[in-house]
Amino acid sequence: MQETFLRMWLLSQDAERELSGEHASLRFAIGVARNLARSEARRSGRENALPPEDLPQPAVEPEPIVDAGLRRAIVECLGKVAAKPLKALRARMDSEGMIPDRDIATTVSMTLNTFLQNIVRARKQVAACLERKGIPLQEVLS
Amino acid sequence: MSESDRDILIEAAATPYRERDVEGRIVPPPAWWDLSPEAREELFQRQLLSRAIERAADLNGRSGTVRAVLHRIRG
Repeated sequence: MQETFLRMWLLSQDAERELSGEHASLRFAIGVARNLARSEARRSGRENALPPEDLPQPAVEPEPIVDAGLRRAIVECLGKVAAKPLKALRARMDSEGMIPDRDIATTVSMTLNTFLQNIVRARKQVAACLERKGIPLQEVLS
Repeated sequence: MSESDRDILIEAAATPYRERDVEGRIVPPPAWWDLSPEAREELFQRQLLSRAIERAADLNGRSGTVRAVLHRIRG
């Protein structure tokens, strides 16, 4: 996913490259992602050839804009998470995907195992809170 | 493997942090290799929830994945 986004960025810097048609950039991104996945599978010897009729065709739908009400509900639920799980979850979010969990755990004075346990707890508490608000998880994941 | 151990293994793979190999290629989190096909399906759902929480908590609506990519773009 991250490599796909990065390649899309590089593409956007190429003045001679132009994408046209409905959802052109999204379709191109799916193509890039598929090629990357295929390349990785080939590299690790895990590629399985499927009959053409079995190949899944991913739906091309733009990312839905995060509903303001849903965002507010998630933020409210985050505010109700117990202290230690919240500390672990916030530390991971603040790391902006740039620091491995082992190092984040050290900054919050937790072992890696405790840190991960706390994130599991935090996520379950958020999910349970959303359910109590009448927001099924499936709505969050759609 | 207990349910708790399985939960932790999945969580370890749900991080937006990605290591790179010597050629600079992004590699999956080490925990990913230890997950069963069913656990990887669960991981996918957990990643969706994680990214949704991150987007909601970020003032600019950016997930950990987006923020990591921005860091790479900006060097």
